[in-house]
Amino acid sequence: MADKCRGAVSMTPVVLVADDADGTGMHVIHHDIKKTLGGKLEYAKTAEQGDAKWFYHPANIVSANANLIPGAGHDDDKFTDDSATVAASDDIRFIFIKHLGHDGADPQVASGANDKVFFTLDGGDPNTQPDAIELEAGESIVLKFKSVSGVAVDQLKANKNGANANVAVQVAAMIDDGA
Amino acid sequence: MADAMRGACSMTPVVTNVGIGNSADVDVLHDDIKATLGGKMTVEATAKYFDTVTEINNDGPKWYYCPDLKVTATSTNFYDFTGVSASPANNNVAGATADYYSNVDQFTNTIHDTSDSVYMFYAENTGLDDTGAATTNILGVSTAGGSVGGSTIMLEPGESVLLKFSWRALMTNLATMDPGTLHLDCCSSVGAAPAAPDHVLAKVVAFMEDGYADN
Repeated sequence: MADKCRGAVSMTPVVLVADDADGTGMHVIHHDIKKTLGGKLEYAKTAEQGDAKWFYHPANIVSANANLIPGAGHDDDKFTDDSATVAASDDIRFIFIKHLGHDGADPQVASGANDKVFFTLDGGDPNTQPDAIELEAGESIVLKFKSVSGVAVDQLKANKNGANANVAVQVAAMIDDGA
Repeated sequence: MADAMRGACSMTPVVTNVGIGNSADVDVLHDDIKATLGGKMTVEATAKYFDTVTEINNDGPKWYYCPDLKVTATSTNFYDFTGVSASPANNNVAGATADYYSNVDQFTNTIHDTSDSVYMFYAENTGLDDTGAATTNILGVSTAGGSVGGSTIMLEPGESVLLKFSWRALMTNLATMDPGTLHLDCCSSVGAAPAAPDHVLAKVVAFMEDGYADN
Protein backbone atom coordinates (compact mmCIF):
# COMPACT_ATOMS: atom_id res chain seq x y z
CA MET A 1 0.00 0.00 0.00
CA ALA A 2 1.07 3.56 -0.61
CA ASP A 3 -0.34 7.06 -0.76
CA LYS A 4 -2.43 7.52 -3.86
CA CYS A 5 -4.83 9.86 -5.63
CA ARG A 6 -7.85 7.81 -6.68
CA GLY A 7 -9.67 9.68 -9.40
CA ALA A 8 -12.74 8.74 -11.41
CA VAL A 9 -14.18 10.24 -14.58
CA SER A 10 -17.51 9.64 -16.29
CA MET A 11 -19.33 11.13 -19.26
CA THR A 12 -22.91 10.76 -20.46
CA PRO A 13 -23.65 11.69 -24.11
CA VAL A 14 -27.18 13.12 -24.14
CA VAL A 15 -29.07 13.76 -27.39
CA LEU A 16 -32.32 15.71 -27.64
CA VAL A 17 -35.09 13.99 -29.57
CA ALA A 18 -37.21 16.96 -30.61
CA ASP A 19 -40.90 17.12 -29.87
CA ASP A 20 -43.29 16.01 -32.62
CA ALA A 21 -46.87 17.25 -32.81
CA ASP A 22 -48.30 16.39 -29.39
CA GLY A 23 -45.21 14.52 -28.29
CA THR A 24 -42.89 16.06 -25.77
CA GLY A 25 -39.21 16.26 -26.58
CA MET A 26 -36.97 13.98 -24.60
CA HIS A 27 -33.34 13.32 -23.85
CA VAL A 28 -31.87 9.97 -24.83
CA ILE A 29 -28.40 8.41 -24.80
CA HIS A 30 -26.46 8.87 -28.06
CA HIS A 31 -27.42 5.79 -30.09
CA ASP A 32 -23.89 4.92 -31.21
CA ILE A 33 -22.34 5.24 -27.76
CA LYS A 34 -25.31 3.64 -25.96
CA LYS A 35 -24.14 4.24 -22.39
CA THR A 36 -22.30 6.40 -19.89
CA LEU A 37 -18.56 6.04 -20.41
CA GLY A 38 -16.01 6.31 -17.67
CA GLY A 39 -12.93 5.08 -15.95
CA LYS A 40 -10.50 5.66 -13.16
CA LEU A 41 -7.55 8.05 -13.12
CA GLU A 42 -5.06 7.19 -10.41
CA TYR A 43 -1.56 8.08 -9.28
CA ALA A 44 0.27 6.03 -6.65
CA LYS A 45 3.30 7.32 -4.80
CA THR A 46 5.05 4.06 -5.60
CA ALA A 47 5.35 5.25 -9.22
CA GLU A 48 7.29 8.31 -8.15
CA GLN A 49 10.90 8.71 -9.26
CA GLY A 50 11.66 11.23 -6.49
CA ASP A 51 9.71 12.31 -3.44
CA ALA A 52 6.00 12.79 -4.10
CA LYS A 53 4.12 14.90 -1.54
CA TRP A 54 0.60 16.17 -1.04
CA PHE A 55 -0.48 19.75 -1.65
CA TYR A 56 -3.97 20.97 -0.71
CA HIS A 57 -5.65 24.34 -0.81
CA PRO A 58 -9.38 24.41 0.06
CA ALA A 59 -10.04 27.80 -1.57
CA ASN A 60 -7.17 29.13 -3.66
CA ILE A 61 -7.90 32.52 -5.25
CA VAL A 62 -7.58 33.01 -9.01
CA SER A 63 -7.58 36.66 -10.03
CA ALA A 64 -4.98 37.12 -12.78
CA ASN A 65 -2.52 35.09 -14.79
CA ALA A 66 -0.37 33.25 -12.22
CA ASN A 67 0.72 29.80 -11.11
CA LEU A 68 -2.33 27.85 -9.96
CA ILE A 69 -0.32 26.40 -7.10
CA PRO A 70 1.17 29.21 -5.02
CA GLY A 71 4.90 29.00 -4.48
CA ALA A 72 7.31 30.43 -1.95
CA GLY A 73 6.22 33.70 -0.42
CA HIS A 74 2.52 32.89 -0.26
CA ASP A 75 0.59 32.04 2.87
CA ASP A 76 -0.19 28.55 1.62
CA ASP A 77 3.02 27.52 -0.04
CA LYS A 78 3.88 24.31 1.80
CA PHE A 79 3.18 20.66 1.28
CA THR A 80 0.58 19.33 3.71
CA ASP A 81 3.20 17.61 5.83
CA ASP A 82 4.90 21.01 6.34
CA SER A 83 8.17 19.44 5.25
CA ALA A 84 9.03 21.93 2.54
CA THR A 85 7.83 24.81 0.42
CA VAL A 86 6.50 24.09 -3.05
CA ALA A 87 9.08 25.23 -5.60
CA ALA A 88 8.29 26.58 -9.05
CA SER A 89 10.39 23.83 -10.59
CA ASP A 90 8.68 20.96 -8.77
CA ASP A 91 6.75 18.66 -11.09
CA ILE A 92 3.04 18.03 -10.67
CA ARG A 93 2.11 14.35 -11.01
CA PHE A 94 -1.63 14.44 -10.36
CA ILE A 95 -4.02 17.30 -9.73
CA PHE A 96 -7.67 17.84 -8.86
CA ILE A 97 -9.17 21.30 -9.45
CA LYS A 98 -12.71 22.47 -8.64
CA HIS A 99 -14.33 25.85 -9.37
CA LEU A 100 -16.09 26.57 -6.06
CA GLY A 101 -18.55 29.07 -7.50
CA HIS A 102 -17.68 31.94 -5.15
CA ASP A 103 -14.99 34.59 -4.78
CA GLY A 104 -13.37 33.22 -1.65
CA ALA A 105 -14.47 36.10 0.57
CA ASP A 106 -17.89 34.67 1.32
CA PRO A 107 -18.74 31.10 0.31
CA GLN A 108 -22.43 31.98 0.55
CA VAL A 109 -22.16 34.53 -2.25
CA ALA A 110 -22.17 32.83 -5.64
CA SER A 111 -19.80 34.00 -8.32
CA GLY A 112 -21.21 35.59 -11.46
CA ALA A 113 -22.65 33.52 -14.27
CA ASN A 114 -19.67 34.24 -16.48
CA ASP A 115 -16.94 33.83 -13.91
CA LYS A 116 -14.91 31.11 -15.56
CA VAL A 117 -11.54 29.73 -14.62
CA PHE A 118 -9.09 28.78 -17.35
CA PHE A 119 -5.77 27.04 -17.07
CA THR A 120 -2.92 25.95 -19.31
CA LEU A 121 -0.30 23.24 -18.93
CA ASP A 122 2.59 24.86 -20.80
CA GLY A 123 3.06 28.26 -19.16
CA GLY A 124 0.90 30.37 -21.46
CA ASP A 125 -1.58 32.97 -20.20
CA PRO A 126 -4.86 31.03 -20.08
CA ASN A 127 -6.85 34.07 -21.19
CA THR A 128 -4.98 34.20 -24.49
CA GLN A 129 -4.30 30.55 -25.33
CA PRO A 130 -6.75 28.59 -27.48
CA ASP A 131 -5.93 25.34 -25.70
CA ALA A 132 -6.87 26.69 -22.25
CA ILE A 133 -9.01 24.20 -20.32
CA GLU A 134 -12.14 25.69 -18.75
CA LEU A 135 -14.11 25.22 -15.55
CA GLU A 136 -17.46 26.81 -14.74
CA ALA A 137 -18.92 27.08 -11.25
CA GLY A 138 -19.28 23.67 -9.64
CA GLU A 139 -17.16 21.93 -12.24
CA SER A 140 -14.01 19.92 -11.57
CA ILE A 141 -11.26 18.07 -13.37
CA VAL A 142 -8.63 15.45 -12.60
CA LEU A 143 -5.38 15.20 -14.59
CA LYS A 144 -2.32 12.95 -14.44
CA PHE A 145 1.04 13.78 -15.98
CA LYS A 146 4.31 12.05 -16.73
CA SER A 147 6.37 10.62 -13.87
CA VAL A 148 9.50 12.15 -15.42
CA SER A 149 9.78 15.61 -16.98
CA GLY A 150 6.12 16.42 -16.51
CA VAL A 151 4.32 19.70 -15.83
CA ALA A 152 6.27 22.00 -13.50
CA VAL A 153 4.44 24.16 -10.97
CA ASP A 154 5.29 27.32 -12.94
CA GLN A 155 3.86 25.82 -16.14
CA LEU A 156 0.36 25.24 -14.75
CA LYS A 157 -1.09 28.72 -15.08
CA ALA A 158 -4.59 29.87 -14.10
CA ASN A 159 -6.63 32.93 -14.98
CA LYS A 160 -10.31 33.92 -14.94
CA ASN A 161 -12.84 36.06 -16.67
CA GLY A 162 -16.15 37.50 -15.59
CA ALA A 163 -17.38 40.28 -13.35
CA ASN A 164 -15.86 39.22 -10.05
CA ALA A 165 -12.27 40.12 -9.27
CA ASN A 166 -11.62 36.72 -7.73
CA VAL A 167 -12.76 33.14 -8.15
CA ALA A 168 -12.01 30.46 -5.55
CA VAL A 169 -10.82 27.03 -6.64
CA GLN A 170 -10.17 23.92 -4.57
CA VAL A 171 -6.85 22.27 -5.41
CA ALA A 172 -5.45 18.89 -4.32
CA ALA A 173 -2.28 17.58 -5.90
CA MET A 174 0.56 15.10 -5.67
CA ILE A 175 3.82 16.92 -6.45
CA ASP A 176 7.38 15.69 -6.78
CA ASP A 177 9.37 17.73 -4.26
CA GLY A 178 12.67 18.48 -5.89
CA ALA A 179 11.98 17.22 -9.41
CA MET B 1 -33.54 20.79 -23.58
CA ALA B 2 -30.68 20.20 -25.93
CA ASP B 3 -27.88 17.78 -26.78
CA ALA B 4 -25.37 17.78 -23.96
CA MET B 5 -22.13 16.14 -22.90
CA ARG B 6 -22.52 15.64 -19.17
CA GLY B 7 -19.44 14.68 -17.23
CA ALA B 8 -18.37 14.12 -13.66
CA CYS B 9 -14.97 13.88 -11.97
CA SER B 10 -13.99 12.85 -8.47
CA MET B 11 -10.80 12.28 -6.50
CA THR B 12 -10.17 10.43 -3.25
CA PRO B 13 -6.92 11.33 -1.44
CA VAL B 14 -5.61 8.14 0.16
CA VAL B 15 -2.74 8.09 2.64
CA THR B 16 -1.15 4.89 3.89
CA ASN B 17 -0.49 4.75 7.61
CA VAL B 18 2.40 2.34 7.98
CA GLY B 19 1.80 -0.46 10.42
CA ILE B 20 3.94 -0.89 13.52
CA GLY B 21 4.96 -4.23 14.89
CA ASN B 22 2.14 -6.67 14.19
CA SER B 23 -0.17 -3.98 12.77
CA ALA B 24 -0.85 -4.01 9.05
CA ASP B 25 -0.66 -0.89 6.91
CA VAL B 26 -3.96 1.00 6.79
CA ASP B 27 -5.26 3.30 4.05
CA VAL B 28 -7.05 6.41 5.35
CA LEU B 29 -8.28 9.71 3.93
CA HIS B 30 -5.80 12.58 3.92
CA ASP B 31 -6.43 14.36 7.24
CA ASP B 32 -6.50 17.87 5.76
CA ILE B 33 -8.79 17.07 2.84
CA LYS B 34 -11.11 14.75 4.80
CA ALA B 35 -13.37 13.83 1.88
CA THR B 36 -13.70 12.61 -1.67
CA LEU B 37 -13.73 15.74 -3.81
CA GLY B 38 -15.69 16.08 -7.04
CA GLY B 39 -17.88 18.02 -9.40
CA LYS B 40 -19.57 18.03 -12.79
CA MET B 41 -18.40 19.15 -16.24
CA THR B 42 -20.98 19.99 -18.92
CA VAL B 43 -21.38 21.49 -22.38
CA GLU B 44 -24.83 21.88 -23.94
CA ALA B 45 -25.97 22.66 -27.47
CA THR B 46 -27.58 25.88 -26.32
CA ALA B 47 -26.94 29.58 -26.88
CA LYS B 48 -24.88 29.58 -23.68
CA TYR B 49 -22.15 27.69 -25.50
CA PHE B 50 -23.01 27.92 -29.20
CA ASP B 51 -23.77 31.61 -29.65
CA THR B 52 -26.08 33.04 -32.30
CA VAL B 53 -23.27 33.96 -34.65
CA THR B 54 -21.93 30.46 -34.53
CA GLU B 55 -25.33 28.89 -35.03
CA ILE B 56 -26.10 30.99 -38.09
CA ASN B 57 -22.78 30.99 -39.85
CA ASN B 58 -21.65 27.51 -39.15
CA ASP B 59 -23.09 24.04 -38.97
CA GLY B 60 -23.54 23.98 -35.23
CA PRO B 61 -22.79 21.30 -32.64
CA LYS B 62 -21.95 17.80 -33.75
CA TRP B 63 -20.82 14.58 -32.08
CA TYR B 64 -17.65 12.62 -32.81
CA TYR B 65 -17.29 9.05 -31.58
CA CYS B 66 -14.89 6.23 -32.23
CA PRO B 67 -14.78 3.23 -29.88
CA ASP B 68 -11.42 1.89 -31.01
CA LEU B 69 -8.97 4.41 -32.42
CA LYS B 70 -5.66 2.64 -33.06
CA VAL B 71 -3.22 5.09 -31.46
CA THR B 72 0.45 4.59 -32.30
CA ALA B 73 3.66 6.25 -31.08
CA THR B 74 3.48 8.99 -33.69
CA SER B 75 1.73 12.03 -32.20
CA THR B 76 -1.23 12.85 -34.43
CA ASN B 77 -4.60 14.62 -34.43
CA PHE B 78 -7.07 12.30 -32.72
CA TYR B 79 -9.28 12.01 -35.81
CA ASP B 80 -6.39 11.08 -38.12
CA PHE B 81 -5.89 7.72 -36.45
CA THR B 82 -7.71 4.75 -37.92
CA GLY B 83 -10.64 2.99 -36.34
CA VAL B 84 -10.31 -0.77 -35.94
CA SER B 85 -13.95 -1.71 -36.23
CA ALA B 86 -16.76 -0.58 -38.49
CA SER B 87 -18.73 0.57 -35.50
CA PRO B 88 -20.49 2.95 -35.28
CA ALA B 89 -21.57 2.16 -38.82
CA ASN B 90 -22.36 5.72 -39.83
CA ASN B 91 -18.96 7.25 -39.19
CA ASN B 92 -16.29 4.63 -39.10
CA VAL B 93 -14.89 2.30 -41.73
CA ALA B 94 -12.75 -0.49 -40.36
CA GLY B 95 -9.10 0.35 -40.95
CA ALA B 96 -9.83 3.80 -42.34
CA THR B 97 -9.23 7.21 -40.83
CA ALA B 98 -12.04 7.85 -38.37
CA ASP B 99 -12.62 11.52 -39.18
CA TYR B 100 -16.40 11.76 -39.55
CA TYR B 101 -19.02 13.24 -37.26
CA SER B 102 -21.46 10.66 -35.96
CA ASN B 103 -24.73 12.56 -36.11
CA VAL B 104 -24.86 13.34 -39.84
CA ASP B 105 -25.37 11.31 -42.97
CA GLN B 106 -22.70 8.77 -43.65
CA PHE B 107 -19.36 10.22 -44.71
CA THR B 108 -20.61 13.72 -45.54
CA ASN B 109 -19.07 15.78 -42.77
CA THR B 110 -15.41 15.41 -42.04
CA ILE B 111 -13.47 17.17 -39.30
CA HIS B 112 -11.14 20.00 -40.28
CA ASP B 113 -7.87 20.95 -38.59
CA THR B 114 -8.49 24.63 -37.93
CA SER B 115 -12.00 25.59 -38.99
CA ASP B 116 -13.79 23.28 -36.54
CA SER B 117 -13.61 23.50 -32.76
CA VAL B 118 -13.55 20.97 -29.92
CA TYR B 119 -15.81 22.09 -27.05
CA MET B 120 -15.54 19.00 -24.86
CA PHE B 121 -13.40 15.89 -25.19
CA TYR B 122 -13.41 12.44 -23.59
CA ALA B 123 -10.59 9.93 -24.06
CA GLU B 124 -10.22 6.47 -22.55
CA ASN B 125 -7.37 3.98 -22.67
CA THR B 126 -9.15 0.66 -23.33
CA GLY B 127 -6.08 -1.34 -22.33
CA LEU B 128 -6.46 -3.43 -25.49
CA ASP B 129 -4.62 -3.83 -28.77
CA ASP B 130 -6.20 -4.40 -32.18
CA THR B 131 -6.40 -8.17 -31.58
CA GLY B 132 -8.32 -7.71 -28.35
CA ALA B 133 -5.34 -8.68 -26.20
CA ALA B 134 -4.44 -6.67 -23.12
CA THR B 135 -1.61 -4.14 -23.31
CA THR B 136 0.03 -1.96 -20.67
CA ASN B 137 0.79 0.83 -23.12
CA ILE B 138 -0.10 4.36 -22.04
CA LEU B 139 -2.32 6.75 -23.97
CA GLY B 140 -0.99 10.32 -24.12
CA VAL B 141 -3.30 13.31 -24.64
CA SER B 142 -1.80 16.66 -25.60
CA THR B 143 -3.59 19.97 -26.08
CA ALA B 144 -0.48 21.60 -27.54
CA GLY B 145 -0.26 19.86 -30.93
CA GLY B 146 2.94 18.66 -32.52
CA SER B 147 5.07 16.25 -30.60
CA VAL B 148 3.52 15.23 -27.33
CA GLY B 149 5.73 16.84 -24.69
CA GLY B 150 5.98 17.54 -21.00
CA SER B 151 2.41 18.75 -20.67
CA THR B 152 1.00 15.44 -21.91
CA ILE B 153 -1.86 13.97 -19.89
CA MET B 154 -1.13 10.30 -19.27
CA LEU B 155 -3.79 7.56 -19.24
CA GLU B 156 -2.95 4.04 -18.16
CA PRO B 157 -5.18 1.08 -19.10
CA GLY B 158 -8.73 1.64 -17.89
CA GLU B 159 -8.19 5.34 -17.24
CA SER B 160 -10.01 8.26 -18.83
CA VAL B 161 -10.03 12.06 -18.90
CA LEU B 162 -12.52 14.85 -19.63
CA LEU B 163 -11.44 18.23 -21.02
CA LYS B 164 -13.59 21.30 -21.72
CA PHE B 165 -12.71 24.24 -23.99
CA SER B 166 -16.06 25.78 -24.90
CA TRP B 167 -15.99 29.23 -23.34
CA ARG B 168 -12.84 30.32 -25.10
CA ALA B 169 -15.06 30.61 -28.18
CA LEU B 170 -17.43 33.11 -26.63
CA MET B 171 -14.62 35.22 -25.19
CA THR B 172 -12.92 35.73 -28.52
CA ASN B 173 -15.74 34.91 -30.93
CA LEU B 174 -13.26 32.75 -32.75
CA ALA B 175 -12.84 29.04 -33.17
CA THR B 176 -11.06 27.81 -30.08
CA MET B 177 -9.52 24.41 -29.53
CA ASP B 178 -8.59 23.31 -33.02
CA PRO B 179 -8.99 19.57 -33.49
CA GLY B 180 -5.69 19.76 -35.35
CA THR B 181 -3.85 20.55 -32.13
CA LEU B 182 -5.56 17.96 -29.93
CA HIS B 183 -3.13 15.09 -30.26
CA LEU B 184 -2.91 11.51 -29.04
CA ASP B 185 0.05 9.19 -28.87
CA CYS B 186 1.08 5.88 -27.33
CA CYS B 187 4.08 5.35 -25.08
CA SER B 188 5.50 3.27 -22.27
CA SER B 189 5.59 4.34 -18.65
CA VAL B 190 7.99 7.29 -18.91
CA GLY B 191 7.29 8.53 -22.40
CA ALA B 192 9.54 6.08 -24.18
CA ALA B 193 8.51 4.02 -27.18
CA PRO B 194 5.51 1.78 -26.54
CA ALA B 195 5.96 -1.87 -25.77
CA ALA B 196 4.94 -4.42 -28.36
CA PRO B 197 2.40 -4.15 -29.83
CA ASP B 198 3.26 -0.58 -30.78
CA HIS B 199 -0.23 0.81 -30.18
CA VAL B 200 -3.22 0.96 -27.88
CA LEU B 201 -6.93 1.32 -28.65
CA ALA B 202 -8.58 4.53 -27.43
CA LYS B 203 -12.26 5.29 -27.00
CA VAL B 204 -12.89 8.92 -27.93
CA VAL B 205 -15.99 11.12 -27.78
CA ALA B 206 -15.99 14.81 -28.70
CA PHE B 207 -18.69 17.46 -28.72
CA MET B 208 -17.69 19.86 -31.45
CA GLU B 209 -18.62 22.89 -33.49
CA ASP B 210 -18.59 22.15 -37.20
CA GLY B 211 -17.45 25.44 -38.65
CA TYR B 212 -16.95 24.34 -42.20
CA ALA B 213 -19.89 24.07 -44.63
CA ASP B 214 -18.91 20.88 -46.38
CA ASN B 215 -22.21 19.08 -46.40
